Amino acid sequence: MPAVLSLLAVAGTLVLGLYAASFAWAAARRPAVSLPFESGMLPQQHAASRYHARWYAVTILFLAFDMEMIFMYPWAVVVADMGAGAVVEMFGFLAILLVGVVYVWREGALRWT
Amino acid sequence: MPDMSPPEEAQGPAVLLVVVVGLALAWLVAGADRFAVTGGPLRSFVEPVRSGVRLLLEQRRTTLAPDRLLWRVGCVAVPVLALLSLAVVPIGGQTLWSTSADLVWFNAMEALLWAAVWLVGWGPNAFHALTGGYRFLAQGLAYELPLMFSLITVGVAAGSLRTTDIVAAQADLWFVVTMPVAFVTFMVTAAAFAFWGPFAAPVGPDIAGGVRSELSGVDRLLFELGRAVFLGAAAAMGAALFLGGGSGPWLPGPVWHLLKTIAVVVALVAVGRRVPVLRPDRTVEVAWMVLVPATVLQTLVVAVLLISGFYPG
Amino acid sequence: MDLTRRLRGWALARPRVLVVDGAGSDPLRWTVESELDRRSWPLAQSPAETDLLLVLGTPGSHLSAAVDVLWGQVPQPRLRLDVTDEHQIAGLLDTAVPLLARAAESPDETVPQAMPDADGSSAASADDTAHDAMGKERSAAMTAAHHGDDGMDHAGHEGMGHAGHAGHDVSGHGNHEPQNGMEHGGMGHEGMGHERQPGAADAGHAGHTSHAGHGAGAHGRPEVPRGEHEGVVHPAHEDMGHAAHGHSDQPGTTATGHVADDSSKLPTHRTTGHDAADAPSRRHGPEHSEHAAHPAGQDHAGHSSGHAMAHDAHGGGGHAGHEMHHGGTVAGLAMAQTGPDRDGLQLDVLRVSLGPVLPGWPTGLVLRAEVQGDVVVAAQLSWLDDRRGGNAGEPRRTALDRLASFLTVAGWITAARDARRARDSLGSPDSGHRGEAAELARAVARRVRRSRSLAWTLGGVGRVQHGTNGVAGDEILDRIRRWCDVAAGDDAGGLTAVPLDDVAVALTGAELGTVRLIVASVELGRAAPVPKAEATHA
Repeated sequence: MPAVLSLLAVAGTLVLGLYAASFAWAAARRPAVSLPFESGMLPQQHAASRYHARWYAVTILFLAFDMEMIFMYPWAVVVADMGAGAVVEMFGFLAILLVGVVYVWREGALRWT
Repeated sequence: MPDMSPPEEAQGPAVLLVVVVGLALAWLVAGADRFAVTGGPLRSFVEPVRSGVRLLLEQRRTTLAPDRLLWRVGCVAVPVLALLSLAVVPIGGQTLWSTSADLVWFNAMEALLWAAVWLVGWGPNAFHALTGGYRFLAQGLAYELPLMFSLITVGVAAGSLRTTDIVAAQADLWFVVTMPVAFVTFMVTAAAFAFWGPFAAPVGPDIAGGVRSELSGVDRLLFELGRAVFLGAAAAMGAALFLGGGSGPWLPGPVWHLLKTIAVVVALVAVGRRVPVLRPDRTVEVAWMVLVPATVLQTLVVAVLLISGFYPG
Repeated sequence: MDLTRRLRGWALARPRVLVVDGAGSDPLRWTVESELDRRSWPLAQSPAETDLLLVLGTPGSHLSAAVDVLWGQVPQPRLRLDVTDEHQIAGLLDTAVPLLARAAESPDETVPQAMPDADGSSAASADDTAHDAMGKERSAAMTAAHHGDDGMDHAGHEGMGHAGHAGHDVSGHGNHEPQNGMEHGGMGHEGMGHERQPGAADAGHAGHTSHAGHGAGAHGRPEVPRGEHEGVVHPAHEDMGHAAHGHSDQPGTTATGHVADDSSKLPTHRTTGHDAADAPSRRHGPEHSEHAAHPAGQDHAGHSSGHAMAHDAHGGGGHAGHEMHHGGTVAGLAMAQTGPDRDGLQLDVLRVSLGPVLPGWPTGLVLRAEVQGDVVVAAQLSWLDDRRGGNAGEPRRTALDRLASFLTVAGWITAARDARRARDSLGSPDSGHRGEAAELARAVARRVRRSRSLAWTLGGVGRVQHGTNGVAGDEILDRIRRWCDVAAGDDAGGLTAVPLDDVAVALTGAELGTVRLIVASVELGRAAPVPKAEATHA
């Protein structure tokens, strides 16, 4: 743990060092204030809007799987000791989830345009 | 298995070594990539350094009503996360931080990258950047699971999530032999998480550079640096997890690991620069319908091999 | 000190270049791109990653305004060069690196105070350069004047940059900050200094010059009555607003009936900007129409109510005169509106412009789009200024050029590079080179044609119906493959241009990346502007 904290510290120092170098050396210290790039036009509205993520159905599917994956890491370590039973249980469960994936795919949720 | 991290008193130099290795890997990736794009072997490896210095010279930018704090956090987080992921990559046969869940740590750093990259896209209040950020999330949804399955496959075969154990478990046979699908998937998903090559949609030219379209100066440097470190770390991790890490005849282990890492980077660049950017709305479907089942099958094959006593130890 | 200077020069030795080509300067652009490829100077995708802004030919008034906006978005150190003659390119690019390095040495904080000084001394050096160059050629003189102005400092350009936003900033973003005010002052000043430079008064500078004036004006400086500029400055203002907010008189506004209708009624030229309530809002009923009209209105309030008034406008915190506005404005810019989604929900609709300067798209093409997330729900295509006469003639090289642009948008940089190389060498006087180029062209065409990943990622999208005879239309891949045939020399036929309106119809409902690819895959019609009456009724 201390090792990773010191790595974090060194990485942070590196970042700070780069900022300092940039501050000392850059052609201009104050950041340029500009409107966001819109191909040469002036923006008409703030871009920060409620972005319609059309793949929201995928997020639900992902969550279902991701929760399962949390259990799969410890499973990977003990599967050798547990033997065939653990394999059957895990892949039976995964098979059910994959059926869900196929269903979602047939419903067209994996394509959104 | 014993804790293979360096003893307390050696940690200072070890930490610096990790950072230096991270920067070197980034340089390797950027140079090889540049070579694939423009040619000229020697110059290609000078150019990334030149770009870096130039970005230090360049003025930073802010936009109209940006989310300054989150934007800054995102830019800083990308390289920091990349370097942190290197804590569990074996360098010279040992990792900086050796835990019973190294693979989870590596995975977690990549998962945090979701947030970091999205924040970089959200910060500037700009249309192209925002679109890029959301593209990255869509891409993450597609590639996270194949990545996790390929990591778990390795863990199953080695019976441990500790990187050094996994390398040791390949003394007789590299894992790539029994798990080629997991290896390829790992490299593909690593490229996707570094939004590089065919997976560059979040920074694609069709959205004028996407997430990074408003970045300049040191902010851009950090972002690009983090991206290259991530890709380099993934190549080194791939070489350790699937290609036996430092194992090999005649040459010392670290040299072997370096050579394998270079080979992985070269292969990645050679293949990745041969194809156009793939549209995320197409790749999500393939990721779920092809990569996920394929990696699950791969895990199943390895699990069956394991309980039939194929893997020693 | 010398070491850092050399390091600077080294770091800036391969600047990233943003190329903006005026109408009819395709051959010039090809020469420039081949020179850039030869030097391996990368092309920039956005102003944020630009070091060198190259303006080719003589951009029309709208494009000049866009160039000024872009210029304002380029971080320092930066350099802008105007290129009008292809024989000058190599020499010009050679001067770019030392000029950039010089630009890197003078941080902008010092500029406002140092202004008069810098103006005097560097203008002298600019004079020298201009003098030398003027002996040679007109374009050289123009460029040299630019050099001088850039090498001298960046205040002027900074000024323009801000001027670019000035219209927007009017409602008070950041203008309350004292240092900003100072900066603006500096800019105005520089703007004038710039205009005084010999050679700068050259016709080619018109856009540039007018913009400097714009900068000075929009920041609320008392207008200095100077006859020669009065005529220039005001049109520039008009142009800016006009460029940014709807083009009732541009070709292609008929894209989708209601869009054209809407935009043609936006108060683009209104001097008060607040009588917008009568602009019929397509979807939200009358109470929202003010929102729709807002950005245009606001700009023009600042601009047209006299420059001295500009500060009042932002003093009002963006709500001055916007009594009908319900909190839709933040920092001087409207928030996105809501509109019905195809799923039957009310979701945010964001209005964006793609083009006139966007990687892979022909310069001057503007797509005014409304997007929900990354899906375009309304699209309207038009050309800024008159872009006729853009074609260089030889179909094979043109096809390779289009292919290169398309591949750029598709993110296939290596293939795009090869297509550019083939295009450039095909024009070489040496027949050996031409033979190699033909071979390379065939190789690129074959590669693109046979690419499975391209076929997979683009398959089945981008059907564009054109003509009134009920032709089924073709998809992106069909069009690209036809270009490949022409590029490989298998098909001597030219490329059939598709009217913008037909393209725009195909864009509605497509994802943003697809939209970019569809437009890049079409040889676009460059027809003369449609008369206004027709445009609104189509």
